[in-house]
Amino acid sequence: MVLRLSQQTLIATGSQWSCSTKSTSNWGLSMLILQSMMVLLVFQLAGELVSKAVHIPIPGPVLGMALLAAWYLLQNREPEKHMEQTVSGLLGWLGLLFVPAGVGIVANLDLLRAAWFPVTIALTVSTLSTLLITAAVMSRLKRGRA
Amino acid sequence: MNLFGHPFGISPGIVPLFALVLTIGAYLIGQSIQKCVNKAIANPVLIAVLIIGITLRVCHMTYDSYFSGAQFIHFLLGPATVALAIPLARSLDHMRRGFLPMVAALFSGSIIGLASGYGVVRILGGSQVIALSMVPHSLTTPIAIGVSQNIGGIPSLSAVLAIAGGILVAIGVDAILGWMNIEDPAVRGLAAGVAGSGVGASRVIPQHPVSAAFAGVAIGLNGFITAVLAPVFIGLLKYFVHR
Repeated sequence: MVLRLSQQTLIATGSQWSCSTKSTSNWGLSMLILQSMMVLLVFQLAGELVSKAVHIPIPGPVLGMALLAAWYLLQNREPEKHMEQTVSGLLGWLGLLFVPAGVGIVANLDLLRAAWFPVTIALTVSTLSTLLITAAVMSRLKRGRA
Repeated sequence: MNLFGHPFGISPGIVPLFALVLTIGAYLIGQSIQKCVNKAIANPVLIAVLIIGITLRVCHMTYDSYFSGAQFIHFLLGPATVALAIPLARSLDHMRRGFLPMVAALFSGSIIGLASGYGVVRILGGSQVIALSMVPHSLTTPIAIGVSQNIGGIPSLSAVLAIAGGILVAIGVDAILGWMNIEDPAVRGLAAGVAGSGVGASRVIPQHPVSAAFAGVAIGLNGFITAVLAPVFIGLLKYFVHR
């Protein structure tokens, strides 16, 4: 039932989308931004519904990203200009959006107090070696193929 | 359901408004400090978290009442994650060309990330629960919480570690990849996304659309791969320890 609901949501976005491409030139920029936000939220909702329905360990927004990318690929076209403007605005602030969750570190400081030494060292070593090895593997293999 | 105290009130109240002003203000201060100093260590997220943390202590404000206002910013993380689909859809050719290196890097990054955190905690004498909470540290917070629950860690500790690790990546990514002579925006995006998920990648995403595309893929796929591999890793570990 939930799956069918999410399909309907997708189809609903589709019709809204194809209508708007015809009349794009008449719309003000603010309407286009609002429309882009609507598309992002609808796909987040669809991702949320799929995630609930099929019990996979992936959060709704990440599935929403995959669905929206698939949406463009299936139609074999590039994202609209106003979509890109909205998105680059939103992603330009990406750091800010993590601040409320980051303040959670300060709130949970007592969790770290008991074992701060192994935790700090392990987090630093593990994070930096992950960064280093991922980058090394990808750039080596890419250079090897070029 | 009544968010604003009165059904038609337009102001969320003084405490949530203060939290909003504090969050955006602290981030703007962080941004301008970074512009002045021009060093990665002056990370705006880190500076904002420190300013807000100190302010909350001084004002005796709880995290919950802070979050009553900050949730309006936190909420935007959802659409921002979906938004990564746009650079992704534009970089598809890029992704096809580098598909095998990308998959190989994803798997090696995932395995190193989940095993090394556990290993180092155990070597340094940390408890099993702490070591298990360390396993999903490179994942995006909601997946990290789920994996931590699954394998018997402390979910809130895993969430804290995921964000702290992300800040570490945001600070270190330019220096480390610069030292390795890596300028390819695809590699930069993928490595930052695998090691530090969204927070880590927030440093490279505004730098180049191809970085944004690969970071988005890295955050999603690393979350998925690690969520599948982590219970397997723990299972193998138990098998060999019991023998």
